[in-house]
Amino acid sequence: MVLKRRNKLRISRLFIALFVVVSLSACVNIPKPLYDWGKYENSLYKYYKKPARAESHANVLQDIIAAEADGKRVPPGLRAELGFMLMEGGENNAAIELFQKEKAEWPESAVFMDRLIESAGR
Amino acid sequence: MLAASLIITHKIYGEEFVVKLITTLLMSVLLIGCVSNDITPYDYSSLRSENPKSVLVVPAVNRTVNVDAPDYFLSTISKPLAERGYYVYPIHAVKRAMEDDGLNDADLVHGADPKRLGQMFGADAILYVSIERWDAKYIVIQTTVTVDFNYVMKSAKTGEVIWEGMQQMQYTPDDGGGGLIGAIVNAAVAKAAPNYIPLTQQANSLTLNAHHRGLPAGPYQLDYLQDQTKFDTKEKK
Repeated sequence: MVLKRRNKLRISRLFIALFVVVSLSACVNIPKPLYDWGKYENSLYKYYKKPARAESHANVLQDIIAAEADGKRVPPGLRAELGFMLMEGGENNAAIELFQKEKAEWPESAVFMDRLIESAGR
Repeated sequence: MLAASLIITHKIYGEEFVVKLITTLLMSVLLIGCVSNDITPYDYSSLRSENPKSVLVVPAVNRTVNVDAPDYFLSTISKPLAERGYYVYPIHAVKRAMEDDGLNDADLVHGADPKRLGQMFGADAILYVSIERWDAKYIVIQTTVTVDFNYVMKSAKTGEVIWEGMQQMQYTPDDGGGGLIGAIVNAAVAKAAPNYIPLTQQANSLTLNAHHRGLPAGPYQLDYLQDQTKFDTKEKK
C-alpha cells in the first residue's frame, strides 16, 4: 500500500515536471547551444571580484579554446579576451596571434582587433 | 510564509493533497505567465531594417546599492547574446579599452555618442543595461531577491533605439532539496557568500529569448531572418 502511494506520488511529480517543461517551452524557447562556454561565466565573475585570479581565468579561456580540437565551437570574443589578458601580462606575440585568429574567425571584430594588434606590436 | 503554510497543510491533509495543491498553483502561475506574454508583439521594424550582426555590450549602469550587480550582469550577458546568433565583443577587453580612452565609468559610457562607440570597435549595435532594482529580503529562512533590469539596444549608425527589453523578476536561491534545515543552512550561506550568477543568467536569458519581446536571431543562429512568427507577428490559431 505504502509503495503504491509512493509510486502514485512519483507519477504526479513527473507530470508536474513535464508540465513545467512544456509550458516554459511554449513561452520562451532556447535553441540548442551554438558554442561551448566551459566555466566562462563563473570564472569571469570571480576574476572581476579578485583581479589576482587572472591566471586562473586565463586557464579557463585556454581550456575553452583548446576544446576546439574535440570539435567544440569557440564562442565569439573569447580568443580576443585571452589575447587581451596575455597582452596585459606582456606576452605580446602570443596576444597578436590570438587577435589575428579572432579576426579571421569573426570578421565583425576586425576594427577592434586591428587596434589591439597595433598596440601590442608597439 | 509559503513554506510554513505548506508544512502545516502537509500535516493536516497529507502529501497527496499538497502535491495537488502545488500542481494547481504552478499551473495557474504558468498560465498567467503565458497569458501576460501573449501581448502585442514588440515593433521590430527598426531592428529588422538595421539588421545588426555584432553587438557591443557596455558596462551596466547601477542604480542600486548592490555593488556586485554590474559584475554579475556583465559576466552573464555574452553567452545568451552570442547564442542568439550575434558577434559579441570581448566584454572585459572592451571595458579596459574604454577605460584607456577615458571612459572609465558606466555613466560616462552611457552618456557618450553611440556612433563614436560604434566606430571605436566597428560594432553595428550597442547594448546598454541599467540595473534599476536589486533588493534582497531575508524572511525567516529564505532569501528573495527582486531585480529590475532595463535593456536598450541602439544602432551604432544612427544612434537610434532599435530594441528595448525589461526584466522584473524575483529570485530565490534553490534550497537544494534539504527541506527546512537545508533552507536554514542555505539562508545562512547565502548571507555569507551569495552567488547570484544564476539570477542574472536567468534574467538575461529570459529577456533575450522571450517570444514577441526578446531579440530575434542574429546571423549565426539557424533561424536567422526566419523567425518572424516568433517575434514580429502572432501565430495564427
